[in-house]
Amino acid sequence: MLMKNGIVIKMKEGVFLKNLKRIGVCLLLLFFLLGCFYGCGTQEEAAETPADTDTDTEEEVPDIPQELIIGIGRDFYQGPESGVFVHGSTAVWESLTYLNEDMIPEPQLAEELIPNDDATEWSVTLRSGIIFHDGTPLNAEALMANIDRVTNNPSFDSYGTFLNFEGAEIAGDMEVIFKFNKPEPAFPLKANYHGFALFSPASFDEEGAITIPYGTGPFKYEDYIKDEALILTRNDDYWGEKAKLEKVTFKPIPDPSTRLAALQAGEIHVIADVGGVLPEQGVIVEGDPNLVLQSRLVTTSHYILFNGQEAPFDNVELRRAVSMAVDRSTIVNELLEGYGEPADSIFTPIARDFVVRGLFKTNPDEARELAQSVSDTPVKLVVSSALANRWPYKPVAEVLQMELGELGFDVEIEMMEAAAWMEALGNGDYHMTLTPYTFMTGDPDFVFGRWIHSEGQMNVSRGLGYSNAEADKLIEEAAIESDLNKRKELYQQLQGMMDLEVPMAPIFHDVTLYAYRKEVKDFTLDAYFTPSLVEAWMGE
Amino acid sequence: MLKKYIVKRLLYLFVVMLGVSILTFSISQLTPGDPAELLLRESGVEPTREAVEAMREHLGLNDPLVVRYGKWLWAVLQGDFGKSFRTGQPVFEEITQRFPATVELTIAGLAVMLSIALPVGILSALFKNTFMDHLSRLFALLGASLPSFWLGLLLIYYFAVKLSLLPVMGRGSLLHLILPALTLGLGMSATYARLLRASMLEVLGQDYIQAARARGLREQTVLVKNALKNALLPVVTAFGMSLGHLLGGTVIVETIFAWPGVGRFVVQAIFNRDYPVIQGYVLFMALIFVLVNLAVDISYKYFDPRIRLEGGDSK
Repeated sequence: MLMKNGIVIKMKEGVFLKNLKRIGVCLLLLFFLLGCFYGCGTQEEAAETPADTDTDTEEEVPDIPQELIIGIGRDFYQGPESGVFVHGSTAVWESLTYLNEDMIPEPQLAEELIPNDDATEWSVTLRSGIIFHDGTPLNAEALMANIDRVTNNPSFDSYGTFLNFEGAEIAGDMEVIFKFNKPEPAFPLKANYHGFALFSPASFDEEGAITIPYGTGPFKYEDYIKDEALILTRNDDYWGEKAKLEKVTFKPIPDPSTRLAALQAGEIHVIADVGGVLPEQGVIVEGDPNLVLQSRLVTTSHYILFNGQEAPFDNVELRRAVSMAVDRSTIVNELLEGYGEPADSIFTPIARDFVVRGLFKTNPDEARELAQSVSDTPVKLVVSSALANRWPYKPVAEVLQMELGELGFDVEIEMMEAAAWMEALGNGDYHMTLTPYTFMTGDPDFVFGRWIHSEGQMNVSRGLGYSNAEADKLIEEAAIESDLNKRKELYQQLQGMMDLEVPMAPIFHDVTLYAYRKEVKDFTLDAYFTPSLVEAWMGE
Repeated sequence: MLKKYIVKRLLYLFVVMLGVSILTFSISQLTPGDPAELLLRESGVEPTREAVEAMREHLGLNDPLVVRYGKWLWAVLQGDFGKSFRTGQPVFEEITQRFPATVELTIAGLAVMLSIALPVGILSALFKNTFMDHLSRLFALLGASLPSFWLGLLLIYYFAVKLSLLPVMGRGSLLHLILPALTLGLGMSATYARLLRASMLEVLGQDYIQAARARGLREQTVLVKNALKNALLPVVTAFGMSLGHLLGGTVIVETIFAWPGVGRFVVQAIFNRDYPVIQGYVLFMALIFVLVNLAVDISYKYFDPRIRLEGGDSK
């Protein structure tokens, strides 16, 4: 009823309006109730334990479409501006070598890699009978074309494989000799994976940009639908064991909750990538009878970086104090739900040949002794928001804030956008930060040469300011030492030194989670995040 | 008269686009971050110093700022918006290929919004201070408070995972559109419902409404032909702004539903400091906003013929 100037204006409610009113009320109530009950329900009954991981008995591949859909958090299509066009996990391309489970290089496209006495030359003999996806053969000429491509485009040389490269010459149909101006004892390690991916010369244009990635891998690049799907099909002419899967699709799904929902709904079969399944999602996957959760120690480690260019962390005792104060086990058990390994080595323990363990011990009493001079000392701990989206860096920072507070540090946490974070580090505008680093090559120089050497690019670009002449000497010596045992000794010395000097303090080694539906068989992820696309197949 | 008005507005477009391009270029150069390093780090490998330097040279990042802007502007005037640092593909192609997905989501979201906001707004005005009105206030409060990502995940959980009625994500059939459209539309409908309510109440209090009723017109005619038409004017203005924003891409909904629209792509370009994409997108958005606002201004004449379009503004 409306009133205007004291006059009652009666209104007749039409049927139309009455119905509208009822519908409106019902809709609002429905959504309200949905919101109230969200999250009240538990997961589907987890009456049974997850299925066997199916590798025990030999099962036959059934006659159903062998098509696998993998959900990932990023896009594996990298395009012509990258050196490889598609990510290595796609199994489209291969390299001269690959790293086995102990990070020891094994021949892949190269049958043999033989150094001369001082490792300034490497004779590489290619496997015969391998053809690229366009039908052209892998031979010395094709290898030379790839060498030219990378040396003309240093941005394609991700691992620095060609930093000391002097030239190459064809020594036979399948043999090429690589020449370096310094000994390169780690060449087989550097020539793995992204270190030197090989493509048919027909793949790239005059400038070396790949237009179509004709690799040699068990899968071929089929199609890319922007932001939606990267589609691969089986290479039936593959030189090695043929894949059972006929088609693999990688779907970029940026949001982790959506990724998991897609897996639960059966829209994807697998989630397998760095940070693909978050630690807190593990319990949901385990509670779903249709899914299998797996975990894997990978080659990524997580560190506290110190700005050693200014106080307080130009003081080695205070760096050691911080390292000793960090309760690594608590961080792994409480913040990572146990999915991680408390770090007692400077790099991943997977690198069995080189790693020294039992370092970086937690010792709060000794930490307090070392930090006696500290009193309300301000410390700026900067965290990249991009990294914090993939790993629980913010809670880790908060734990550090608390632990260092007990030593007398007044820690202020500052979240930063990724590019701003990199610039702040480069300018030395921080005291501490958190960062991951993936030990891609298995060559300790990939860590020491970059992070510890006073002119190492990560040391400089991340503002560590660490400079130790003795360490520099050991690093330079180890990088060119051909005798493996002597190399190991040198790196052992360096690791011991890092335990005392702590230019960067490792916190935990990454254990990545991945999940798949029960109908997926023989699926695993290796230490380099590479899925077993050759072995995997779809059951009923 | 109308043609002259349209031509004038389109001429302003060039001035606007030049202005925003200079502003965007300046601001993006001032933000921290090296596009070369960010691009090389995409594969997960920390690049060598040499690789970063080579990439900088390849991308033309070592040229002085004025030279870079001049080259870019000259290319744009010839229809070349440059190539994405990341994908190497023409910027125009990258944006226009994703635009249809954004348009689809925008239209669906607005349709959901209007189908909820119109009846709720009208009813809460008609039944002011009744249960209906209070319920719509609660709805508006929830709509303003609930984050769209939460709503989206809630809808996914119930309708896609639990009930398996709809797909979780991606673009394809009409079914794929329902959940993202609901997420987008529900959130906006709360605001529009309140806006329409306020506007309707103002109009319903006018003398001409009373006069129309006194003349014996049916209530439906009074509401629709007299009240609603006038009440919609502020709503249309807001609608135009919303349309412009939505056509620029709704990054949260696109991310939650892995919808391959412009928003997600451009946000990634911002994180990667993909300057050509950012510059191209800003020009594109300037064009969208000018055209949408022009359409809104022209539409005023339909709602209220008394309005005259002069000198670039509606009066």
